[in-house]
Amino acid sequence: MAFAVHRPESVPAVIAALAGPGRVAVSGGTLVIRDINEGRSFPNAIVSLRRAGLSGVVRNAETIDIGAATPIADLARPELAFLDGVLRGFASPTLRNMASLGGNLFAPRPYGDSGVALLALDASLGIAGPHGARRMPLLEFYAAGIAADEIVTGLRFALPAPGTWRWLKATRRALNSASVLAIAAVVETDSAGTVAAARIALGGVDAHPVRSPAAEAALCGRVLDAAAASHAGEEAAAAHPCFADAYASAWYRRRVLPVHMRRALLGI
Amino acid sequence: MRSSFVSFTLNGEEKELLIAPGQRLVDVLREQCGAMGTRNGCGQGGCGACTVHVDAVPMLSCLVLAELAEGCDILTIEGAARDRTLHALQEAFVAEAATQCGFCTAGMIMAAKALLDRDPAPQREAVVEALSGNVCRCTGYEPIIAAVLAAAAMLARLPAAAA
Amino acid sequence: MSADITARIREDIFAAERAGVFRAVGRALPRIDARAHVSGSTRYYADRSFPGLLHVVMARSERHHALIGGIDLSAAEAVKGVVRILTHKDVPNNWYTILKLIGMGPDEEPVLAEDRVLYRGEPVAAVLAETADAAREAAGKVRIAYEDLPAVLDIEAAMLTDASAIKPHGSNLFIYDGRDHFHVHCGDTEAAFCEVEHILEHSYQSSPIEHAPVETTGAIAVPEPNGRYSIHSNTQAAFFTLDNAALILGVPFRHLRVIGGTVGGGFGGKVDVIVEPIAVLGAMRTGRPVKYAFSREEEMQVSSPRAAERIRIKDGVMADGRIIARDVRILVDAGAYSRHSPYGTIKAAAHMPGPYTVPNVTINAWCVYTNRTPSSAMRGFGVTIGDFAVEVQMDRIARLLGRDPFELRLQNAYRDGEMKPHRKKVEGAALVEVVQAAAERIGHSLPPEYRAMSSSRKG
Ligand SMILES: Cc1cc2nc3c(=O)[nH]c(=O)nc-3n(C[C@H](O)[C@H](O)[C@H](O)COP(=O)(O)OP(=O)(O)OC[C@H]3O[C@@H](n4cnc5c(N)ncnc54)[C@H](O)[C@@H]3O)c2cc1C
Ligand code: FES
Ligand code: FES
Repeated sequence: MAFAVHRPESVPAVIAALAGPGRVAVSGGTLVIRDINEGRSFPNAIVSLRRAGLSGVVRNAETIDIGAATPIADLARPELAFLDGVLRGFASPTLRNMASLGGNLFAPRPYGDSGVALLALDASLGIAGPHGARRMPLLEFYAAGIAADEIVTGLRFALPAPGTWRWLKATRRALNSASVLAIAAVVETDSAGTVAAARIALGGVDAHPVRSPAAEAALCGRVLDAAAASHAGEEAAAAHPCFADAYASAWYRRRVLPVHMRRALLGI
Repeated sequence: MRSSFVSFTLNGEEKELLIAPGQRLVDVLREQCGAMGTRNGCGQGGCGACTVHVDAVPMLSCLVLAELAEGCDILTIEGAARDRTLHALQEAFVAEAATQCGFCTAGMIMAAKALLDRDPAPQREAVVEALSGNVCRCTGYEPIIAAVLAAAAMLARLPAAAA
Repeated sequence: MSADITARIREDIFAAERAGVFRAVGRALPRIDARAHVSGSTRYYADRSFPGLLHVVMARSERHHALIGGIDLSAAEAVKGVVRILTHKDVPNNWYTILKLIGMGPDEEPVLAEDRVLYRGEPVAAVLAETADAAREAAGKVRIAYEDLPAVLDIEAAMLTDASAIKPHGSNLFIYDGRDHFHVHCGDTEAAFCEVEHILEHSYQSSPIEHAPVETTGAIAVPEPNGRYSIHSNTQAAFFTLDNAALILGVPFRHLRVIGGTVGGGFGGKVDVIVEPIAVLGAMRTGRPVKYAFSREEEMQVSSPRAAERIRIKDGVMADGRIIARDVRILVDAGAYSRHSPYGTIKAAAHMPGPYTVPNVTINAWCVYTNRTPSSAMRGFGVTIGDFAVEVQMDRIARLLGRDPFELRLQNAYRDGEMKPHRKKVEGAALVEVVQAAAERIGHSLPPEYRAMSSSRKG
């Protein structure tokens, strides 16, 4: 019932503190503590990542590094201005001060907004564990996960070229609402407006955020117009299972995916 | 598992408390510090009634472990008034009839205060966004938004020192 | 703000009926509790500290409908901090019959489940522990052996003759004086339908609606040195709570004292007397103060919502806009137990045909049991959903006839002195004036004969 709280001040100390049964890493705590409050989770010990040096944003020559424990609110900075929509659509300002980027990768559906964005950005993860550090593509993380004694230390991605970023979160309410669908994309077009390359990621269509090869294939080589965008949405709706929850039925999600795909890609 | 000492500043006052392991900040504030104005409406992060400032940043105290508040500066609704003079937001909530049952009110004011501390002359949309994590089931949001805008106007008229 | 509200009070309307001048109506007066609210100093029931306070968390049914084979408390009792676990055997009078004192029965809802559960979330065993965390953990470890029974979750399916009956009397319908529904009529509806120019029939339905007060339902019971029990509660109905708790606990009313009045949002959801009897029972059995507060999830799942309703309205309308026949069928989903819904169903029936004078009316209202969360009181329960249905129906009639919806309502609005179908004379009618004022406020112009209409005279 009562649980110990550890506040390690380095990554190795976090890894050491996590060794043992019933130990849970906590970053912002918006999911972990909620589950404890609700009687869904009874950990023996909590290991806080807040003081382990895992917060902050660093701009490198080509890429951005973001610490896993960085609160979503701290992403509001000029070099990440393109993520403004992701931020503003994410919970409430108060919750954004707590919820972390790394924790969002573990959020159950329909949560995981920043995971959707990071997938489209082709982000990679830094992982630390008892056997040292490694890197892993986010795509692989969603497929395979990490070991219980490992943590995510940070995320890295390249900034998208100007004009290529797309984001849309469809919700029941305008603010502070979980996604019916989330769509993130990096779409590169040539001078004729033909799509040369596209990375499209979706939330609300599967157990966790996914890339949509079906939508990407449907778009590539076509002129980016309403018909092409809707078609990509239709292909995605056929390819992904979608699910029903308190926010929307699977049928509804499939039905509106082409519309939101068009809006995401073209703003119309 | 042993209790441990945790110290933080609450409304400007140093506190050193013996805290049982795993306690949530909202419970420690209410039960050990007597700061009952911070309400627990859900324990899920969903209602905002437990909003307090931790190092000047609004947070949901139902989701904060008290042991992690070590060394922090905490402000609750009890610290919003100064020398028994209500804060402009508190005055405005009374004047604009922005409170009915009152259960959401402290959280609303703390969330709004965080906004005004950062942006003293917010647009209406900024107010709406700042309060988007706070639920009121009685009053309707219009009087609450009006109260925050009225408070901002009141503060703008005050000499800087008094604000 | 104040100027705006004052501007809206029309002192010219009903001036003759007013004894004096308004002192408060139409004026913006500050709430007397507003300063306490904004400074955080209002004291709700949970804002008092009691040394030695125990916490209740309820182990609840995980099934919609099942027989209980057995309850195993051993794992729950082994959780550190657990002090006592109450089951139905501990409850002196294990009947929760909220309207008992006004003679509405029957006794059918157990305070804690005995041999069966009728809805998911039905209370089975109350764990008392030193901390809420310990009580929560132990409640999760109460092992209930179920033998599933067919669940009836749809209100119309529950009415079918071959539906499995969830009630001992052999049907899923509440019995009103020997009849399986509540009936009201006036005139001869069947004959009138033969005379009308148009018949319009539509169905309306609503889902259960949760009040979702920001403060969840809760109470703290405290043993007093004089042998009595104080109940600090956020109930909306202090004396109702006192009476019902005393009946369940088998103690004289004077042994209980309810301290309340400060409610963090109620909307009807804090009228049922659910937490207090258990809190007092816990205090009686342990000699310690006991707190029983719903979690947010419990508030959403088991606090009784507004009943879901299905309403079918069949109207007989003349070409000139008069509605001369209205046949209404109302189904009210009581959920697993009666609570306030049999009464709400009577209200629903008596409220029809809405604020209109219709000479031939037939109303049949069924209060139906299903294996869903029991429904109960909520702001105007029994009438709001019906009002929605009636007003949408009025708009549809207007559209059918190509009439102005304001004028159609004014034409059919009831007037003082007219007889309602349930044989109550209309008094204090104001629909005409409200529709006129509404039209004026949105700049909708009405012909002079409609502007001249009044609730106090026909025509
Ligand atoms: C009211 C409310 C609204 C919300 N709205 C949204 C929303 O709009 N969009 C959205 O996507 N989500 C939303 N969420 C969900 C959640 O708040 C976010 O997903 C948040 O980013 C989770 O991060 P956290 O740091 O709080 O996670 P925590 O609760 O700290 O952790 C969550 C899980 O991740 C694990 N974990 C955390 N960090 C690491 C790490 N670095 N390495 C390994 N494991 C780790 C923990 O062990 C735990 O299992 C909402 C939640 C609430 C309560
Ligand atoms: S009590 Fe913390 S958000 Fe509701
Ligand atoms: S005043 Fe009751 S919830 Fe806001």
